[in-house]
Amino acid sequence: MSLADSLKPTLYAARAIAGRLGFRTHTAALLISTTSGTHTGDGSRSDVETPITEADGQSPRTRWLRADELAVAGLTSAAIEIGPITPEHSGGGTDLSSLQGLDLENGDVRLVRITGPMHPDGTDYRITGITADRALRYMIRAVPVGTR
Amino acid sequence: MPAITDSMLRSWGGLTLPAVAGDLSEEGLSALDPGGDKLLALFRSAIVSELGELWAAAVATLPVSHRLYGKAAVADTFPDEPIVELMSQRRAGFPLLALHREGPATYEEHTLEKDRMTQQWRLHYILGPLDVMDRRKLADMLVAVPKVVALVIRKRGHASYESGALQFFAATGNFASVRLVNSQSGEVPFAEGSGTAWHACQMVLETVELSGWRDGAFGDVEAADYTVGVGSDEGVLPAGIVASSDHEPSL
Repeated sequence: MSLADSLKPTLYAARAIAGRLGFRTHTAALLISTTSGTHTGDGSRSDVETPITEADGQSPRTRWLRADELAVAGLTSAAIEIGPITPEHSGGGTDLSSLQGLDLENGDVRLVRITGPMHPDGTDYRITGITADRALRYMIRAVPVGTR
Repeated sequence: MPAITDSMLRSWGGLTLPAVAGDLSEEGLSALDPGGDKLLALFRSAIVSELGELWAAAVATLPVSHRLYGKAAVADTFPDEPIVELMSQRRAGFPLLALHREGPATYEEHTLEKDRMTQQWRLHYILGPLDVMDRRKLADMLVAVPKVVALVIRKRGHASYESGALQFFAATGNFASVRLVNSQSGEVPFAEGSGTAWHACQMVLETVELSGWRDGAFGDVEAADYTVGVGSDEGVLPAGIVASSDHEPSL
């Protein structure tokens, strides 16, 4: 077992502390939407929401890089960064391939749903980048789709 | 035909008025503009039919891990503009065929009674990133696809789609005519500035959609008398032309 593999469970637990203390105000969930018709959006829609979490189901940090309000009542062009997210390991963590959408079928939609004080009803973001060049963390960057 | 209300009972291309709840399909409001989806399906069918066998033989020589290994000549279709804001939400397969309206539509009088809308479209055939070896092996597909599209347009259909039914005529609804304006190989919208060279061909099409009337909008004409005044701003000769049909007009 490498040093990185031995550190992941510790970091997984450590990254949950802020959430237990109430400092993680927003939750992030990977949203996969499939539709039954020929093209994306055709037919009936089915959503699967998978929370992105650290130990004990605690949320990783969600940080707004900027928050430009485009219109009253919440239409923003706010870019966010989610993480650090602990990579998958024997004790838990997040599978990178699920973030990347490698198992999706053509036409399936992959978004991230953020819920919290900024988005009480949940708002969907599209992923603009995933940083996975560090052994002990992933980072996700996303911008709002603007539909919710 | 729905009950006559305040509707104009007109049509324009694929749009038929009034639009009623029964027109709603699983494609949402596609009943308002069905032509694009049909064009996309037609071109996909023709490209796969005409080029698919040779394409399959070519990609079979690629490494198994290659993005294009085992993929059909058109692996995915997208009835919208392949911009990063949309493409980053949706899993896409490659080669991808995308079609969307582009630019302003112009409106003109076609006849005294009909109007004409002319619109450009952009058809993208996107292979994806290719290294220098892949490019040599596969990039000529970007030359062949526009030629197939042009021939399909000339033929107004393809045997592999709807049993070869003719697609573009003034009487068929949707488009009265389609033409391929130009084609160009180059960058794709969603990859601009990414630093990765995505290989694609973009074809600019131009369609004409004509206005008309809904079937049954008017009763049959039994007879008609025409009296036409002829003149200019200097004066009019009334009843300069008098014409009458063979039947007496009914009262």
